Amino acid sequence: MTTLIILFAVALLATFAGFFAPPRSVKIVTLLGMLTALVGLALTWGDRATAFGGLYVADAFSQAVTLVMVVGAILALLADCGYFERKGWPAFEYYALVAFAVFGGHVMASTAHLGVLIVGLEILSIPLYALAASRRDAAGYEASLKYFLLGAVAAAFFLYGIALYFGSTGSFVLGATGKGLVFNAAVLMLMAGLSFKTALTPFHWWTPDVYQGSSTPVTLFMATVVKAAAFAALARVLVAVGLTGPAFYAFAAIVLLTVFWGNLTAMVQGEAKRMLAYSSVAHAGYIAVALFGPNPAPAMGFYLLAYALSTGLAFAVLAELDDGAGVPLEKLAGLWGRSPLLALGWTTALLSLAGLPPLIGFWGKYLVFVEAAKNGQYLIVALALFAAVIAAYYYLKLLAVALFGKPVKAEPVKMSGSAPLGIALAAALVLLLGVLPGIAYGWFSAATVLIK
Amino acid sequence: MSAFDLLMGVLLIASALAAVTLKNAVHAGLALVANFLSLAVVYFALEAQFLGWIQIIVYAGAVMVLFLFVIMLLFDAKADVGLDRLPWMRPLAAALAAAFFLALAYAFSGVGPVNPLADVKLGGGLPKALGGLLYGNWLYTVLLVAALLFAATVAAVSLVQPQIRKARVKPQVLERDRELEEVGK
Repeated sequence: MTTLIILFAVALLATFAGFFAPPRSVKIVTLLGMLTALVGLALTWGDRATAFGGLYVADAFSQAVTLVMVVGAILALLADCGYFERKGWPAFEYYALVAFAVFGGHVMASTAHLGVLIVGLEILSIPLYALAASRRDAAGYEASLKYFLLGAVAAAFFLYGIALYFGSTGSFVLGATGKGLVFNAAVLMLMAGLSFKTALTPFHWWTPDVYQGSSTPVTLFMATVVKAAAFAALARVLVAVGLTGPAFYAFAAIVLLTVFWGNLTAMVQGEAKRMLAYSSVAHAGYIAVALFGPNPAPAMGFYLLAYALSTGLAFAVLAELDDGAGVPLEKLAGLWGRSPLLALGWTTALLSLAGLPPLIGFWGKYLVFVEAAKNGQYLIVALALFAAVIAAYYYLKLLAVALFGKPVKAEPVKMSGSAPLGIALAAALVLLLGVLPGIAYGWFSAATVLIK
Repeated sequence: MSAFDLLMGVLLIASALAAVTLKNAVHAGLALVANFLSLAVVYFALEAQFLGWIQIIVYAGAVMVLFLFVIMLLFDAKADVGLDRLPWMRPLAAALAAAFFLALAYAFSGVGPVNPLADVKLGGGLPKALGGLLYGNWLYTVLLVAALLFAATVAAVSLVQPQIRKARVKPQVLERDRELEEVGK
């Protein structure tokens, strides 16, 4: 309950502070609010709280996911500074919308009630549709409109799934017993609706265009916060109904398609943001692998944190290089000579995303694959591992361009504001939690997906 | 399936199809009104009277009238909407929709009302019964919807506000700068 109140208060405060303070002050207010949310989370860590007659349940899993979302939001807020100093500060609504999206994500993660889930999903999504257009150019508008239209279709699927779920079980609460064709149809539709938000193939078509068209800090936010919230909801749904029968085969097909499609298409991209968008599709597949295990919550929580830190770091570096027209690979060339801090962050992020030890990304992959193997899903694990090996190719390609490429203009990258702080912080965490993964795993080990 | 069900089904699907396929934006808007009204009739038939009236007053009334105003203010009312950039998608989409419909029809085949609502006292779906539910069990959802509407308002405002302008430069100043530049050459 504390976290819910803090997050909502931050969103309100950011909105009203904007009436009489410049956007930069609103940013500081939002940032401080997110730090307060971190403190609130730490104080209530592991406590289980229910409110509103069981519609809101803050258990260990919801706290784990909220931690990831708050960390992602802090990274997005820190990374925006240099970007907007060059591009002009956005209106204060930008920060209010970020806070609202995190609040919606928290609502989504802390419920087993489908009616609350869809409202939370919309509180998360609607600010994002506006944020995607925050750069106010043709690409931004296209990204926003595409995201909105496809998001509306996905929400319609999800709603229809809820109706069928209610029709076949007589309850809106996840975990109600149901069987028969209508129930299966309901589960498949809920799965399709959430697969859209998590960007699982074949529901990922919006991802590259939206990630590329949005301003880079917003892309960072989408890749971390939205993914965490959507996966929390997907885990709650799929674990409660049980991955058996048609749901199992459908989901296994989706996951395998995702890891291969994401990684194979990432290889042929010529723009760094687009490449990382496909990489985020592939990573959604790895996270989903954990759902085949007996208790996916700890592995998922850890992977989500690992992914949020690594991809957040990568996008934070790209935000420094992006002048609004994206980051073609040539722009990365010779990064080491132009800005050692950016190059260090970029190297750490890519090696972590590729899953090399001793970085945090390695332990994330290790945990999800072990989790699925516990249930004997060796085929899925083997194929996903194979896809992860393919992925190393384009991560190393991105890295090689940055380290050994000849720059067109060898001028140093000017960094400003809070961006270096965010990059240094994320890089340090990726390294530290990679060397000592037990610390982070300890935060998540008590989590379970099912709400009893 | 009664004749009423069949009639309403046909009306709903036909008006929805008309709303997305008609080329004239105003006609499409009116088709959407027809769709909303048919839906309201379905609500009435299900004894959800309050919901039915809300559907008519809020959706068919307020929302659609605003919608039509915007269409008529923004475009020539005869404007063509929906330029089809991917014409080959249409048959594919139709085939997939048909497959989806058949799959659902199969799922529903031989299934009666799975969960009869006879034990739920809805009092004809009037506000007296709904109010207790909304502000009782569903209070959290009502509060969340309030938050959602607030967030959506902020989002809408941020979308429509004009670009953050650079300091306005007077045309005379621009002219002088241009002349100075020419002299400089």
